Amino acid sequence: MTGRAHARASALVAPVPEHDRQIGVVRDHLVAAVAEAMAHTAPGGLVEVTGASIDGQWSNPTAPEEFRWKPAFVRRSLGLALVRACVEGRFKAPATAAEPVVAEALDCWRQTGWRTYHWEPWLAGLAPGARAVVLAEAVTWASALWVAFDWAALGSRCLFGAPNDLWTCPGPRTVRLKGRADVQVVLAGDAYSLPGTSDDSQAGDRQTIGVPSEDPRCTADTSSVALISVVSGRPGELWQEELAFPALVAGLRWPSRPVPARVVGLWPDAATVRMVDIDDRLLGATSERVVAAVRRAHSELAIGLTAA
Amino acid sequence: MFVTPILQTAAMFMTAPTTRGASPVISPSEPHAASPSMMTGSHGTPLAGPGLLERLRMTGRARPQADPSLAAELGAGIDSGLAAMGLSADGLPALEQRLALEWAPGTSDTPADPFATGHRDRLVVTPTRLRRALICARHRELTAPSARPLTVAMACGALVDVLFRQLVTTGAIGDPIEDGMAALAIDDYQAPLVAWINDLSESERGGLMTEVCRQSEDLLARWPTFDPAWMPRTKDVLRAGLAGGAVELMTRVDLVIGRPAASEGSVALVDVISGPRRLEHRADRHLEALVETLRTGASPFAAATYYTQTGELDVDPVSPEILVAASQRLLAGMSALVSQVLGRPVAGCRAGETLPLGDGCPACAAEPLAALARTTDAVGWMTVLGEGEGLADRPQQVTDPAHHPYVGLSDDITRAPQFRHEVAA
Repeated sequence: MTGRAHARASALVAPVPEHDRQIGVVRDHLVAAVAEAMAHTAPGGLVEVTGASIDGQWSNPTAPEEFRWKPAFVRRSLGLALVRACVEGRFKAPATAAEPVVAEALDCWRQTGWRTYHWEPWLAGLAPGARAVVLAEAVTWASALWVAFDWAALGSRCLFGAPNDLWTCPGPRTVRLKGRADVQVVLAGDAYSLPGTSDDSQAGDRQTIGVPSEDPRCTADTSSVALISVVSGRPGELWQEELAFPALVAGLRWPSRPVPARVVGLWPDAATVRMVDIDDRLLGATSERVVAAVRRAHSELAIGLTAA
Repeated sequence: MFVTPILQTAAMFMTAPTTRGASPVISPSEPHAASPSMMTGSHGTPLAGPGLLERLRMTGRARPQADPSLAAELGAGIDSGLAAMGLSADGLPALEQRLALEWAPGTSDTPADPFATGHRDRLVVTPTRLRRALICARHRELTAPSARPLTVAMACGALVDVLFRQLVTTGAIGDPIEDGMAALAIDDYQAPLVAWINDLSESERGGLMTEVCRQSEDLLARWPTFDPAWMPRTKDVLRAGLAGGAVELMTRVDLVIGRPAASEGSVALVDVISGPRRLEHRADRHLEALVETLRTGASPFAAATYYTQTGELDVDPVSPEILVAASQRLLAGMSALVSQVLGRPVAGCRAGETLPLGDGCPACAAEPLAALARTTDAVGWMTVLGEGEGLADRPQQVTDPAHHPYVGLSDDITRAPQFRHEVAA
């Protein structure tokens, strides 16, 4: 690992300054503001706000495309599995992990049944040429993450690919916040005791690749965590709010747990790594951006209704 | 740890072909038993195996030391040039929208430019846009995406492109046609091309298969498996922001090897081209080196182009001079691009004052308009205009460097510290 990767890992787990993170106050403000923003909207379909929405990107929720698996949809999930396998010391680099990890995933799927998994049935049905595209996407994605941090310094503190956090804001029209963090790192307290992540279980069961069957954070209820988020493109003006968004959603979704204290963003395309510590100011600013995103959605919905 | 070990490790095996079922057997011959066309490369026998990797790793020059000040100087120089053109954050979104119209999906049967849509807040500059900006208006019109016909050569390029990626990732290629078509069909982006290939006549399809199989066989014979320490990744997207983020340089490199290091250049960039060698490929790889330098602060140690048709490998050690020249070409292209979109000359840096029109058009030098109009076949320049897709085209044409619009700029190579003052002047 390079010195830069080691420095990033050290900074990631460095002690977090004491900050107020009053998620209850933020929540109350957010509920009121979203309700106001959507006050004159007829009840209807779902409005979903993601990290990309914070930066102004928006897709019309009234015209969703029919979902079809693509390599780009698999690269994160599979890429995280590759990095995880490398962190466990099973492989030297993502490139060598790709074929065996996929083979293991498909074996698990065939033994267990498709309902537990998501992309495995699709990948299993692909011809070798198409499958190679999926692997190539995942390896490239994983390589950027793998070289960005000194994973040996993070050890078993890491949890890869936890489920998305979803929080629904009450109101006449359903507004849902979807937060996603690629890696969670315990800052203090016990490390995660997931099968395959702790020292005593590396030779035993393995976590399912894809969506874990249950929220694994139960072992870290009282621990402060940091998040690593892999973001496409380049950091924009609102990069701090974009990074803070998954922490905000996690705090809203799990009010009894500590709000994630720190978020590190990795923009592989731009070779950029940035970090923010989460405090009330940033949570408030992020919730303002959520409201702005909801207002944009409201405007588009209104335009759509007028056009119709 | 640097990207490439001092010596290749024992893991550097020659790639063994994989065959399945009744697929045509691809029997890679010995590395030196190449087909006659491969033997005619300017470097003699194409490199293969460890020799090919050694050529990539050892450029003949010491690897450049990481120099963030160089990247900062380059960025500042370009920003200064853009500012001199009057580009501002306020004006760029409108430019982007006008450019997007030219590349909008649905205007032709060809795939839309994936880089040109969805960016309303910044002007995205890709190698394709830069090349198009630096050719004359007539060539630009004849080679517009909406005028671009699909050809067997383009199909060959697309197939070889995905096969190369497969080889790097899995170390094997089975049935080249089967694998290649499956890779192209995996999402909608190449759907028009896949449909076009499926509609080919038997003879055309036979010709396509023959050439794809030949190039696939050569890839298998020449490219060994990478040591994992080289961190090979394919179709890597590189982005760098300029002018405070209002302009974004964006490119996609076919193969990137090497782990980023803090002390010296440890990354090599490789473009894969299935068509003939052209002068513009050099400019493209230098632009990629510039983007990598701007985004990481450390320049790559090598920028290379590999030609699957012949096995030729052009490798340039990346130097400050190359990066400065690439910056100047970028500014010339930006000036031309903005002038074309606005419909008026743009005052700006010295590099941008001479717009590459008329006799200065590199496309005209390679293929006169008269010939292009007579055949109404813009394929020749499609190779140059393709977005790293390795598009093949007609037999090699000679591009006279003397007619190249930015050769003069290259002759005026300056050191990075001086570049700043030149642009400011």
